Amino acid sequence: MSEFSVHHHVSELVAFFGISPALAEQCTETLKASVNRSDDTQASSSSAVKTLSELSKNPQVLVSKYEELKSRNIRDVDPLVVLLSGVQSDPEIKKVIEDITKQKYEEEGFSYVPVIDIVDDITPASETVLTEAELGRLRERLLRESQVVHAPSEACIALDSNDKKSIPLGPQTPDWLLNRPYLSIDFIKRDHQEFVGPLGEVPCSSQEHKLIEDILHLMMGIEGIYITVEHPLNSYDPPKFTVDPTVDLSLGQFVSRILPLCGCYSQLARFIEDKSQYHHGLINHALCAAINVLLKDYMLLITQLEEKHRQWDLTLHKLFFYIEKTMGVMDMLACITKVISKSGAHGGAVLSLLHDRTLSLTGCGHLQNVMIYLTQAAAEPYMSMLSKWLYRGIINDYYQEFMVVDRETGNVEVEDITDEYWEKRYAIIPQKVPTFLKTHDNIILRTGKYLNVIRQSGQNVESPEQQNLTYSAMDASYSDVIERTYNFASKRLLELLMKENDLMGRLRSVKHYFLLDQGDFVVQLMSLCEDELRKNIDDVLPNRLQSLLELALRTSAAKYDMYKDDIVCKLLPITLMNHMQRILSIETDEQDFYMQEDRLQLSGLQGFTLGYRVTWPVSLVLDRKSITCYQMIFRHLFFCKHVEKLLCRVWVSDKVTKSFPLSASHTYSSAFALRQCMLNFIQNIEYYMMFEVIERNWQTFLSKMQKVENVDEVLDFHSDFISSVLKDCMLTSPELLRIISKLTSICVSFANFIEVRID
Amino acid sequence: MCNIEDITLSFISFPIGRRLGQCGNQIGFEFWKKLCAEHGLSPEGILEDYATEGTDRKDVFFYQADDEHYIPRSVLLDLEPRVIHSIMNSPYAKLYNPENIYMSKQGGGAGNNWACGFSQGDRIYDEVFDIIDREADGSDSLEGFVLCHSIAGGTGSGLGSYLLERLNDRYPKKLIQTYSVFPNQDEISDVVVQPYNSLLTLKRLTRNADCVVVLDNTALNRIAVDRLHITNPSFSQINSLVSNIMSVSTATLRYPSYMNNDLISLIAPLIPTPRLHFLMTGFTPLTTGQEVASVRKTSVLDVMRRLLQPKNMMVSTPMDRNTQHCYISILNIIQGEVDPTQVHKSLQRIREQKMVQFISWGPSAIQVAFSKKSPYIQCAHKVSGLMLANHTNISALFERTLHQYDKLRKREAFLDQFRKEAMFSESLDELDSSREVVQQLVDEYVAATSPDYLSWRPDQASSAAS
Repeated sequence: MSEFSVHHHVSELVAFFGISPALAEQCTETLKASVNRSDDTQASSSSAVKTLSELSKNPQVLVSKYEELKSRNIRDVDPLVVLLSGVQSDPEIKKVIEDITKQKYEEEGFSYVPVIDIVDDITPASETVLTEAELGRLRERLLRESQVVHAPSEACIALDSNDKKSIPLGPQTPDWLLNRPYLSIDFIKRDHQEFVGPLGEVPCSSQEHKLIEDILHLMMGIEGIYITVEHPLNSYDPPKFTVDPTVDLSLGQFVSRILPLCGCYSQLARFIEDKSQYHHGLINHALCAAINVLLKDYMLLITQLEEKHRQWDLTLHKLFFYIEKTMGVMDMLACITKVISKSGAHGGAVLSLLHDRTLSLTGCGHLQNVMIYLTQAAAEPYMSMLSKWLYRGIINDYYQEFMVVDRETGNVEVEDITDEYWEKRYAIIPQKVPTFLKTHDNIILRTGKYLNVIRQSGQNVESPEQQNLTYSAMDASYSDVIERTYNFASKRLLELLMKENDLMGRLRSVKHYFLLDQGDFVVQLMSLCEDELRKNIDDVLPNRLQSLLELALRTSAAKYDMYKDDIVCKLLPITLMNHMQRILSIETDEQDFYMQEDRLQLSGLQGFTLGYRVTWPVSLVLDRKSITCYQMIFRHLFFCKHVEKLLCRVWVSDKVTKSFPLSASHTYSSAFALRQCMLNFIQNIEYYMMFEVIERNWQTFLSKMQKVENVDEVLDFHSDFISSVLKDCMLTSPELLRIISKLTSICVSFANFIEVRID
Repeated sequence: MCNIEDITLSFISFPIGRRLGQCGNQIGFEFWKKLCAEHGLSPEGILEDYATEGTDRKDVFFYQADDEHYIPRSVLLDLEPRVIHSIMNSPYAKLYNPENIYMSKQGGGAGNNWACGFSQGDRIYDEVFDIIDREADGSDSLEGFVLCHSIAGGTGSGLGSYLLERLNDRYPKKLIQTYSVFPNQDEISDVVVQPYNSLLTLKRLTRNADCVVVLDNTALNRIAVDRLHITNPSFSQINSLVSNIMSVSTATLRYPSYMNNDLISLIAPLIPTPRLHFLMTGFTPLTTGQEVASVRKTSVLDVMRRLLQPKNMMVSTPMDRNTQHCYISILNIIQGEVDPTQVHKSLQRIREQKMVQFISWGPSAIQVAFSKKSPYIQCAHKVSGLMLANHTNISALFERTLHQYDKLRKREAFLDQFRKEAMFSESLDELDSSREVVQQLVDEYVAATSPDYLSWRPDQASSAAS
């Protein structure tokens, strides 16, 4: 996060709270420092929880809430906790918040609740808040939280209802799935139960036989006769089993050791049935399918056991022995599915959970292999989405599972979207990035983005070597592929921009006109347009101006420039001074002060600027923002040139005095000296801006561009170039700009004065 | 440099440019040769095949004929045919527009007599200004005229003076820049009336020209002998020095960059008050075309430092550090691959070491202009520089002219030739008034050295002098 956004957020907060600016300044400093620290929140979160719980009235609730949030794998829990503990431990901020809350509450007729309670309030509320809050945006969150403090319940309700409003994706789940309970492979709720006598009345071996039969049924999701099933409250918990209490104690013990397996099966069955619904997305579907395959083996095992059982060859001991290995696997599967269900994970998040689990099982050979199998299977649809994105830049993500989201809003003209295109069109959704792709997320985003840009410019591209991407826990083969495709895409786009669209030629041409590199053109333009621009801005005929501009382009050395036809002239109804002030004062209170603009007094010259027609994909670099910056620089330089020209005209008119008698001509000496000073000033400032600022920065820019590797760098370098030119030309400092504009206006009035006198 | 015997006038006009005289024509000839080379034009004015980089502006000094070949905006004037004939016999004969070459029908020259040249000017006025007007009307945005001439002989000084007066009347808003060759004072001139000629021309240069680039034959010869180690410098060797200066000083116009893209923006900052418009030049590194330059490292600081050394100055005035004389303004035109930061550092160094003494009544700083080099000419040096300077010391040159004039005038020597012409037949007032104008010029230059120049009134000064 940049320094500016920190300032911006703080000022917003200050406005909200109405705290003194001095404190705000201090806060900004602290925050700036803390922004960089935000990475180590993991470590400090536990201590933060401790601090909070110490201060809390009922620590137990707080800690359990924290654990719950944590277990649901919700992001940003840690930073929030750290933030809250920070608020707690900093008496100053605490006091401020207390004061303000008190004030606000009083205003709204509530009674004041101490901060500690609020903090307690926030923690449960955070669940909803967090889905929107982003790590690092600490201030913003604070602001929002304080709104939550206002009326926590309302905010929660609002957010809740927001969540619920979202329509489930995909086709509707057909009714019959719900209407026909017997389709399920899980236990079925039965209303009445056949009563059989207590099992304890038969001999031990018969008891064992019956129990094994029941267990074999239970393992397949059929309720037994002597072992009954009680459905759990949460769908992801295992059901409760009750064994006929009359059975032999040792048998009962054995049974209860085997029963968790049946629980696992039930969980898995429910998971499969639940997650196979359309709206859970392809990844969940794939995972279900993979689990199904495993279940098939499991069923096979049961069949074999039953066979043995029929032959009276199975005892509980033997049974336990046979299923022991399976139990581990099933337990693990149940565990992971529980986590997934509990957190409501979807898309990439599922893969994250799977991958993390896979890694944590390193060393448990068999279990890990199973996990790898699962993850691989589940990752398959994701990987194919990824490869589509990587190789062709297409997002085929019906269930919103993919990490990259296309923010396109309908069919907008290409020209219009360019401004925001690069920044906003595609974005990464951090929750949907599988952890194993975390390190590559930026590269992945850019690869597809580049390909899309290339396609938008009317060229079809596909990566030349399209390997199938497959997940693998250990060796990161996919990362090589990603790297390679990225290199291809970035190279291709760079080529497209630099070679086919001649970006540097474009920029050079922009420099010719906007940065006055092409001096003769400017001289020509100025002398041609002089009369036109002297008029009031409303009287200037834009068509005439445009034709004069074209004339100037054709009569100067600019005629060799192949991009000269993209230059257009523009009249802005605002002076550069006011324009800059307005931009610079956006974040300050001065804003209103400069708003009034007297259009009537504006001359054409004050409003004159150039425009540049750019086409896709060059408009990626020369977007509206940077063109505006160029325009500002142009207006500034152009005005300086104009002043220089006026002073030169004074010089020409001064030469008449040579034929005057000596004594007469020397009465003008001081005017000559003043003119000389002014000319010197204006030429020196031009020299400074043009050679020491623009040219030097341009050279740096050029040398950077020679080594450029991808388009993002191109954008960065270019914006660096513009901003440093703006800064060094003193356009971004209102004080300096004011001084310069005052000095130049003195020069102008001097030149006008002399001109009037001589006429 | 050009022999004083034959004096040629030649014009160069800017954006449409022009030139005049015998000496002037010789310099002009070299200058156009150089321009052709720099712009990649063949002697016939046709663009060479290799000249593909269209970053230069040829239309400052040339215009395009219907058949794509480039014609100099130049007028060649002479009262005797010799030099022009030699030009017409050179490979460059086809370059010029034949309509723009004017030779006096008598062909007798001006006999090294200013008065003769001046009065002949009156006679050929209509024909000459037909040509000039045609050229001026043919250019889209005429900024001014450039005149090359010598001030010692008859044609360059006499006809030149006449043209200066008329041009000023006719085009009062246009700039008139001259490249004026001052005679060699180390040699005994065979033109005996040279002091008269010079004095009379100086008056016109003071009154009617806007910017005079002084090319001192004394200094040019000295530079050729001392710096280039040529024992007997030929005219063409010296002329190439001069054409070099002319081409560099117009380089910013022909290779447009950020600044100094018109003549006025070059000379306006150099000339604070209208009368003090006599500029000195300096150039480094000095080489002639043929000689292979001794390889040395040229840096910006090195170039700027050398430019300030009197020995590189193309005007022979005693550059004594102890006198009160000082610079009024300096413009360094730097060519080559230059990092602006280096320039900044060099300027700082020069300021720290107090290498330059500036006037105290005005802004004092070395101005720097960057110019591209012609892509078609190979140069052994990375950086080269031309200095255009306005130095009060130039008054010494005028004082010397005054001194020589006074010596002759005291003896009333050689005045018969002048009395033959109508202008001087009745009185020699013109000579006296010219002497007064030049004396005032010298006084003003001296006055400019003092801090209270702005309150200086020539009346007091001249009364003190008398």
